[in-house]
Amino acid sequence: MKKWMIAMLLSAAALFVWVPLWMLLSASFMGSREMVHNLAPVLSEKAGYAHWPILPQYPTLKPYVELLLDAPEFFTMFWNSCKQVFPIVVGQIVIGAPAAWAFARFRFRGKGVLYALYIILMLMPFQVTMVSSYFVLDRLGLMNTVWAIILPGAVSTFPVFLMIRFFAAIPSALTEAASLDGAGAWQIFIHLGLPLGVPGILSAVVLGFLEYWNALEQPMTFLKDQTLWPLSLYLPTVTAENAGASLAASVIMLMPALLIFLFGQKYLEAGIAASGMKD
Amino acid sequence: MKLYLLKKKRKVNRQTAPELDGVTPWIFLLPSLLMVSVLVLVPFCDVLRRSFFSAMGGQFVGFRNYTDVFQNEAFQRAAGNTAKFTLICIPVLLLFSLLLALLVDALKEKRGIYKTSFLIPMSIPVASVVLLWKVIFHENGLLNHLLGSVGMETVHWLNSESAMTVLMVTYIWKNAGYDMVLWLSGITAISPSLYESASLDGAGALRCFFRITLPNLMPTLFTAAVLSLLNSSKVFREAYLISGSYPHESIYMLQHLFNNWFTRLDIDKMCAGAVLMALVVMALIGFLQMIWGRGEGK
Amino acid sequence: MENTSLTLEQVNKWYSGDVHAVKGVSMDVRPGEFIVFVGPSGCGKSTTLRMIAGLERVDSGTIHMGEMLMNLVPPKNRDIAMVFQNYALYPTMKVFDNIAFPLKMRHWKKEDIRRRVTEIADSLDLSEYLWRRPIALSGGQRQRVALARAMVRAPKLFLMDEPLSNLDVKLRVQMRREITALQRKLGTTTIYVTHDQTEAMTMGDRIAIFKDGVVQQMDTPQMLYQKPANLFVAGFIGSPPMNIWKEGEKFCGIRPEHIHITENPDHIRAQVVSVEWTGRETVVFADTENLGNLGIVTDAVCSLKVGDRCYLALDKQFIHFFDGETGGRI
Repeated sequence: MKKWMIAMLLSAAALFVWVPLWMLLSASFMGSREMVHNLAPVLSEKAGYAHWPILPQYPTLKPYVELLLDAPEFFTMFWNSCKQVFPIVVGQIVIGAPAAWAFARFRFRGKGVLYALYIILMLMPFQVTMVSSYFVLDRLGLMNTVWAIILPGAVSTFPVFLMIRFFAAIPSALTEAASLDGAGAWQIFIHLGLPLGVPGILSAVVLGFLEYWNALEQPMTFLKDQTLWPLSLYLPTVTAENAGASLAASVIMLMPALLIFLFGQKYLEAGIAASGMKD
Repeated sequence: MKLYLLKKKRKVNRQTAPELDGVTPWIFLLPSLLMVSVLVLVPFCDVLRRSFFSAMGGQFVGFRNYTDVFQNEAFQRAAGNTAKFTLICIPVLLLFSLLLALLVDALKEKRGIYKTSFLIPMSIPVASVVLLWKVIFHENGLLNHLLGSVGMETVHWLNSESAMTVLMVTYIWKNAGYDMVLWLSGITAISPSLYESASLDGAGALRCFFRITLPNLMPTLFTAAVLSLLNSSKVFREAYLISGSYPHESIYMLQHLFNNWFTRLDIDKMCAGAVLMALVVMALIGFLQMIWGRGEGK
Repeated sequence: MENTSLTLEQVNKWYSGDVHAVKGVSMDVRPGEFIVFVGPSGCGKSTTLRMIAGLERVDSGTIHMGEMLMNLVPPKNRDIAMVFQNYALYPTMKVFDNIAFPLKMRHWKKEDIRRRVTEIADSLDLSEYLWRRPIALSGGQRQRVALARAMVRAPKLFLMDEPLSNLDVKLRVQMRREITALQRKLGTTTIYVTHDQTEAMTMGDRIAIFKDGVVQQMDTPQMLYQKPANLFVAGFIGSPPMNIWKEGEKFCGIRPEHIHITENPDHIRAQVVSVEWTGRETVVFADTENLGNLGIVTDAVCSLKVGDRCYLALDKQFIHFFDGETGGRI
């Protein structure tokens, strides 16, 4: 096949990504009158078809201004999302990195069994863990608090699995040299393991962030109180009346994920590839 | 030979225990192990126990909770939909992402822009595209507008059996990049010398693909299959995106069912259902590992 | 500076169940000695070194440093410095921090660390590279950093695991001399592992020759050359190797320089099959009727050509005899 044909095919496929993204961005600058006019057939079941212009006819920052000034609940939700996602990711690293180091660099009884257990847990869908999580959270009195989201997220074994892959790739001569240089197990981990494992840790951070920024199931199940809801759960409930604000909110919600993706794409790809390596 | 070696007596006293690193690894493991036990393992054992008791009276009921689940009409529908989704969507996703990977790989320069393009949907939160999807797939929406203008019949995308199609397309849209990266890492791991020697032997591009690329991608196929299979349980997010908590029955998935049980606090069914799911997942992993192991053996 | 002696007694190591990698190795290393472990790959020399370092468990037997039993002492408390084959420099740290690492682990004061590192770096010509990362250094420079890191805290024992095998030939010869000179100056007991017999002969005060996990002979280079303990040592040390043939129940051996080319028809008759001229000398290989193919080292000026006939005289006093069954020296 010719190079230009391949490029054409791929570009055509890429349109399915770029067009929706563009539609989202451009429409978020649409004034509410224009929006109502264009989307009435969908939003209020009027006859005819909806219309989504490539560029808004009268671009305006009003949706953003309105959202930022007049919708305090949006801030709350955004802040809720941050309050849930960042502690989860930090917790995953703080708890997971030492465990991954143990799996990757030490010999101990029961290692094989524990490793298998961690992999199985990593592969379990939410439906399996939701009831058990509920029992624990209920017993601990944490239902309907941010902890109900943070704790189960922080003990996910997927980042452990990912970091094992990266830690195991560190040449053993380095840690041996350090131990002869007088470093204890903990010092080796701090001075060598963590700095050399940065790519693995960043992979876990990027994948973890994207996953939990987008999380629906957990908050839906464990948070009854709407004021605790994250953006991911709040946005779909926004009604037709404030479609304008909803689009602006969508874009704002998209931004952190997109930024983290663009800056961390290298680590994201490395992380995906690492999760694909077989034992 | 091996037996002989095992029986052979040794002359020197020696430490025969395997070499271990003592307590140090356990200290590193402790926080994770402790939290996993408290938050996941112990409660799951509790779930396992409860699945054999009735939540109300607390008396032992044997497998009744399980039979209840199986006879539950909603469960049958949800399980059926989930199975249908998995059986159609995973192979399509794997093939499509393989195609993308091969095309991207064939392109020596400007790969980055395409990789980025196909990975972006992974980072787009489902909630951000809710409105857009509504406008596209609504019966008065953009897609039907397009179909109408070229003279084709319009479809009630979200309120008919077609909802499943929309769900699949969305799922593939979001996950193709992930699988493509998996495939690409498998493709780049194939030694170029294999292709060089094959082309010296006069093998064409197609022959190279079927004789070298495909067989060498078998291990990747299995990992990609496992990961996609397990990621497919998150398709609830897309289903929720398309049609909220009360979707058309054709995309009523297991997560919807569990949510309903949860709202009604139907502990019996939830416990039995969780155990069943765990068993199915383990069986699937075991099954795939078996094929995988056989593939390795060759 | 403390120098330590090192004693290995009946040290054994098994890998994955039944591979007996090191078999009953015993040796006494005197304080300040430069010992070389040499042997083909898989002979157990590196494993023995790693047991001394504490990186591998001693499955049976004992290792003492001075009077102290080391078997269960973790590596970090052994006061041993080791130079690895691939240098094992810490990639995330600058050269300065690499060299300072052992001192930092011993909680030296910042000031003292700076002074000491600068001092060592000066002595190894590393001063201008202190703020680079290892990846920006040449092979020779990395080697020096590894040495500096090993020397910085004046350990009781130096271990070096094929430290020169990644350098090109010229640099290797130079570093060989530098390492020996440094060791003489510091006087630290050193164990050096290599598979290169020339390196072993030129560097070691004494050499331990390993084969199949057993020390075949441990002695000075001169003694190894003049009185090899068995057939393996005889064949391993010296280049071109000792000529060996079987005579009745035993093996006989003679070094190539102890065979003389003559024109006396009473001597052994031979036909030249190959002539290698090295510039300093000529190595002639000739077929004989009873002794097989013999290598002979002679003067640079040699008129023999392939196919020529000649006569060989063996210097009888230099013939070695080995047992026909055990290969041991008689």
